[in-house]
Amino acid sequence: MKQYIEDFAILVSAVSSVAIVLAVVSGFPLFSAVIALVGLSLIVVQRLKALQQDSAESVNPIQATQSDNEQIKTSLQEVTTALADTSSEAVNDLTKVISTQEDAVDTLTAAFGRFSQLSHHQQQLIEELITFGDNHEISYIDKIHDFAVQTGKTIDTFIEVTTFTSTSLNALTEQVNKITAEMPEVVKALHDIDQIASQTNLLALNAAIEAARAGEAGRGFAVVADEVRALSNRSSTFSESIQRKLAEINRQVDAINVSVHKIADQDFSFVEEIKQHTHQVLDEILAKSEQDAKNANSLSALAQELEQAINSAIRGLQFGDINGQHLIYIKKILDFTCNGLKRCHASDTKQLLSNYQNFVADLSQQRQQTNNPVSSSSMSSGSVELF
Amino acid sequence: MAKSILVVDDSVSIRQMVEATLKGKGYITTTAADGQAALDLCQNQKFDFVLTDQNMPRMDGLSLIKSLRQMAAYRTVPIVMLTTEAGDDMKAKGRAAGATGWMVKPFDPTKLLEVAAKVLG
Repeated sequence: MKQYIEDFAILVSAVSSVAIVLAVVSGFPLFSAVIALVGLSLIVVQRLKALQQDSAESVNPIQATQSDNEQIKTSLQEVTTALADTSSEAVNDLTKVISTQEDAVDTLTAAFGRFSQLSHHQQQLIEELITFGDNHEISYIDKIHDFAVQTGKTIDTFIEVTTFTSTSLNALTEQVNKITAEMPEVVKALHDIDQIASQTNLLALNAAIEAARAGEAGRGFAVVADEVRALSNRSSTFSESIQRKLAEINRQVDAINVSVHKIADQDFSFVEEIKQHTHQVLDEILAKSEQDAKNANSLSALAQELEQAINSAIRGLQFGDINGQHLIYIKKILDFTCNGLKRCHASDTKQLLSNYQNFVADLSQQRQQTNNPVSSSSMSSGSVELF
Repeated sequence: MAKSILVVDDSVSIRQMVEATLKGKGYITTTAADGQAALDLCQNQKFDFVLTDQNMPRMDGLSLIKSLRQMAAYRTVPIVMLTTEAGDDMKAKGRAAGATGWMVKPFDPTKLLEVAAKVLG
């Protein structure tokens, strides 16, 4: 009897230890059920020990042993049934926990996967927004900055050229005025030439008359007189031609004069206004491009932080797979315990004891053969080894 | 040309997470839920890199590696284990079977990408 109780105490102790380990490892509501079961087992053990003491003190040891034997057997059957039922309930609960955890993790993973996808898409759009070129190698911000600087330089050059043109026009006007002023002098000189030609013509005519009077002796002089008259006529013709050309030039100069005055009379102060306005706009564009560059850097930093956050979430979400394997391992052990306890039932005491001993041995063997495949005890990144 | 990667794991969530990580960097991914399904895929397609779990139904990771290493097309293809197993004995088995490397879960996406870049050269 004493040996029997001690065996049972060892059995209960072994089962309790397994149950406590399972409860601690699983960390689920199973914990309270297992603790209650362990409590119940300990109470039974205490009752058995008390019975053992009572039997030792009994006046009729043989009668007490038979009666107690039946009572102990019944108690053992009850404890075994309670353990098997509780283990079975725990297995069912674990199955539900595994299922809901899988559902939850799958939902979360899909959500974070979509989140990651959208984040990548957002980054691509931002990149497309701030860059161009086949490989997005050129920054719009830099391009706008360069354009603003270049436009500023072009505007300055344009203003310089315009100012120089304005100054040059004034000088040109003066020169045209001088040419116009010189014209009457030239015309007067041509009239003098005309007058000389006319007098020369008259002189040649008189010379011809005198040559005719001289007869044969004046024949040669008559030829010279004719030539002089011809030269005089040609001088008059040239003079008229030059005067016509001069009149034409005079008209053209007048026309230039009018055009130059029109341009010179323009108000070039608008150019200065354009310069100021353009530089103001360009300064704004430059300030905006610098702000855009800062924002682009901030966006880039935010994108990196977002990626790190998503990476942390991905790492953390793997608790589903890791704890899932933990739970499946625990469920397997519990299943084994539950089925083993059910097989312990026997009406014969010796058979009952033998079944318990076999169960303890099987459980020990099972624990040696089955290893928990999970090594991680935290969600920090696992090791990486390349062979 | 984008490299193709076969992701083998019985966990749907792990497959999704590995896929999201690799696709984000332009890799082309295909998934299989166990070693046998992966082996069937490899009979008809050449992947540049295989990433496999160890504990799976039908065929585990080590058996998959042994089978793949017997195929001419997969004799030198990098195969890395991604598993909760971290024991030295398991790693030794992996190395003997022909694994290129061993990653313990939970994986960090950045490290996974580093490993992919390294083994794919």
